[in-house]
Amino acid sequence: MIRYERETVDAWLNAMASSLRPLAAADPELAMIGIRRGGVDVARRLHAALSLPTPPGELAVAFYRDDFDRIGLHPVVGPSDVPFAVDDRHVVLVDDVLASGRTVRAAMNEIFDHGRPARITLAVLVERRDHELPIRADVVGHALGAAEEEYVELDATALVVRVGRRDELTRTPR
Amino acid sequence: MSLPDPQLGEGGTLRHLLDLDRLDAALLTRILDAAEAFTGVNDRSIRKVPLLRGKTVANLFFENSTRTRTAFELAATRLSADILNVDLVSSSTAKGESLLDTLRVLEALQCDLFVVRHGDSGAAHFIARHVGDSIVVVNGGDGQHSHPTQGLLDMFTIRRHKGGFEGLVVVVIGDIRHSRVARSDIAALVTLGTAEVRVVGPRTLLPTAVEALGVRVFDDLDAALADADVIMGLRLQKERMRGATVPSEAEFYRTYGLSPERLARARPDALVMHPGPTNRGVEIAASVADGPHSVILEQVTWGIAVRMAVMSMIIGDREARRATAPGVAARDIGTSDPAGTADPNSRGAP
Amino acid sequence: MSGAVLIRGVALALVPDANGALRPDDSRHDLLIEEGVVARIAPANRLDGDGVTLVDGDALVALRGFTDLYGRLREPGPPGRGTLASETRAALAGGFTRVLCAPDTDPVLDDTATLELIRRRAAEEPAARVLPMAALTRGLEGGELAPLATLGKLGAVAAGQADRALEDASVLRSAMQYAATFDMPLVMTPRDAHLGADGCAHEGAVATRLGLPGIPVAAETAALARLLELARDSGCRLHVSRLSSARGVELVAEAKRSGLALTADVGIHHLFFTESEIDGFDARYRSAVPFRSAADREALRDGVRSGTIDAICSDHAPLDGDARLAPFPACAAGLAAYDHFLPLLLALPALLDLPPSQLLERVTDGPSRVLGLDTPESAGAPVEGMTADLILVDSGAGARTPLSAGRNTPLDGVGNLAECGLEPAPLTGAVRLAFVAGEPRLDTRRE
Repeated sequence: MIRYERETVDAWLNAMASSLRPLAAADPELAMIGIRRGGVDVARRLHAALSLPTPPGELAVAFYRDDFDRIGLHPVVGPSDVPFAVDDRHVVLVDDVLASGRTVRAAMNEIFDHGRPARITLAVLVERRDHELPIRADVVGHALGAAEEEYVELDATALVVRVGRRDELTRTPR
Repeated sequence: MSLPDPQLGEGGTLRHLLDLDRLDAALLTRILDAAEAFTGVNDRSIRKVPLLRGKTVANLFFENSTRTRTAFELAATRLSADILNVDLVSSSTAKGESLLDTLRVLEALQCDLFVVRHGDSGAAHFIARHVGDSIVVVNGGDGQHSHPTQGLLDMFTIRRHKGGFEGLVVVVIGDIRHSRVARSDIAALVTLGTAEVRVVGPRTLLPTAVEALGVRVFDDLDAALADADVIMGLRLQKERMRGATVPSEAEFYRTYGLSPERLARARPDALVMHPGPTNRGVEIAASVADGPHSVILEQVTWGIAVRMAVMSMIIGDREARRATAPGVAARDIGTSDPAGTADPNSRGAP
Repeated sequence: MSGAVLIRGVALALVPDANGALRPDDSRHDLLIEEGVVARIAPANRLDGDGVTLVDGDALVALRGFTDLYGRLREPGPPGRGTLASETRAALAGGFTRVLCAPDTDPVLDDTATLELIRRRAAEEPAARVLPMAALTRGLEGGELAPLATLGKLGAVAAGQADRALEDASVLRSAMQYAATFDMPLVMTPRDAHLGADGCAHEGAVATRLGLPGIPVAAETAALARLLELARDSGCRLHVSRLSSARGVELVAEAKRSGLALTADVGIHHLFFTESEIDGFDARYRSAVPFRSAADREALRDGVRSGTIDAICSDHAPLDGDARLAPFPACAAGLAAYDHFLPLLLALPALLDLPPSQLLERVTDGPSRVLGLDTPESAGAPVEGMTADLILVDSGAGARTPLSAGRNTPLDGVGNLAECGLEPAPLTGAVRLAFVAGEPRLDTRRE
């Protein structure tokens, strides 16, 4: 198992904020939406770092997943919360880990049921080269060539990222 | 010997929703939590989610009810399901075709979910026991027995305002004897740990051995309303006068009608609820039904989210059961990730 | 087999074994049937077997055939629910050599033509004897009297209203006076015409939770009180049929103590099942006379034990396969009883803590007394000189091929009552041979 400590992860977040700053400067209406759960923490930190005037949103995406026919209704914690109008907005969609791309697809479908954004920029803390769909991040904290059996996990409180086999990782309490 | 309860599937999954009697607090809470998530859907520009796209929901209404049917229809539509409304009140069933024969025809139409409303207590249980494995049944009200989605939306409304059920005093007024809504509410309130559930009404409208349901019986409305947190009214039907259970609407209002004066005996933040339609001036004063304590219209709104939750959970549980049936590969089941920390859609995610 | 029959080495009584189950007692007898009567009973191997048909009585008990005070034989009536032939055969399998058949046939048994039809059909494929019960009122409608005197002369041994209430007290009193004139006993099930009329279950905790319209105890006891007062007034011989409640047993006991000549019975299922059985809308337990609370069942058992309840009947109600294919309130009511009557009966001495002979009295001497039939009182044991209506019982036998056209019973394939959620009691026992007037009419020995 590989651990990326707080200092390292912080550096990734700073790099991401730097990439996003020009967009925020160009567009005061720029809004940010985090995907539950990992994406919400990353979005909160980025949102604070950029001091965006529009409050951040959160997506549950449970109702848009593509595995309903296999595992049924995923346990949901509360409704999605998008406290701004989506129409004609530039939205930065944030997640902690981009792997297959299915979560991002679900998130985009949900965003489009809230309105028609002008543009979506995808920002992820860690991008694995494991895509199953043609979805790539625009802003990446760290690119990882993780092996197939390895998983990536963000501990939001400690700001630590672990990469390892499933049995090596512990689930962080949220 | 009791027949096995057809409602529950393996692993505590919900196979059908027939009544609230034997659903434990954990399952009821799971449904309420899911409903909470669905409330957001109604606030968006596209009030739909794709969960039940391609699935067919059939409304089998053997009894007229525009209100309940519309609510289920709307919930199904918001889940992107296809709706089939089957009018059975004036159809061949009324002419003597047996209920089972009707079911066989409907099964041949390959629906996924039947919403059943019927005049006989036990009708939904009967239908659930006689449909094929792939069909799920939601009870939209059977005789005097149960109206589980109404019970759930009532619980949802209470939880939204009061946060929980511990320490609450809930008063149910009126014709409990003939009310499936009352039975469902009482069952859920007791299971969810409500401190005290009180029933009050003339004895002609209270069922025998009602205490066995876990309630405290009152004859006097004022006594029952003292310190009440939630007041649930019930519709008094005209047949009750003809059946010699109540002399007149006027006398009923005088003795058990929720007037503003009576309401004043409850707690200042008491909720006033009613499944509708209300008989103003009979079981409730118009000013109370429209007043600040009343959440009657809210109940209707939450009814959509609750029904969306029930339908998606039941069909979802069915899909999960099918997927884990022997002979089907189970490799990508992500059920071990309730905290949702990992990417739920990636291949082999934990 | 025809002519004389010698049953060799058979027991004549049942005794409880160490676990409470019944078995033949240790004495062995020879029993000779000749010319339709029990000609001789002697210790085993004493009687001469020349020229007679020999039956090996080993491991069997010879008992007097039982008399059923309420069985629905369904003929005349629509097909699918049994015939006189099928149900009287099934009655033999239940141990009954005589059945008082309910008058709610179709058409109702209220005229000579229907009575003749029944006698003729019963004679065509004879099994258990059919004792016709006449309808008390025409069509059972509770309005006009049926021709009781004529029907009595043609063989009706009692009159009643089946499962129907008789609303008008003046008609009831008049019918009682009329029946008393011709010394015809009335077999009446106490039931109010309006109270609980749309009920389908005992009005109690279970029906309340299930939202099922109930039949309150008061529907039985108010009607019973009225029956008792009018019986007292008219002097008729009243038999209270199919009690279901503790208060009902109390009223019967009080009336007997006060000197009223009165008898009563209970359906066998009511000594086992309670309202709990219908939980989950189990329509297999939907009965015209509902199964009530555990306290009611206890009182019924006490009544059988004390003799306040004189007889146990079958309340046999065969239904066709479709009868239960509807929601509970829309299902037909009734349980088929004959195919499981004997095992249930044999489980009772242990449950009731009652000697087997006293229990057998409730299905032999008791019913005979009710109907005023001339039979020796012998608590179920065969005696010399009696008509050879006999059953040979294998008390340990397992399940048998059912004979009734009605499979509406929760007991098919059940080996122990614990499987039904009741207190554990093995269900064993079968009639291997049944004789009516010395003629073998049922033989299950090869099964």
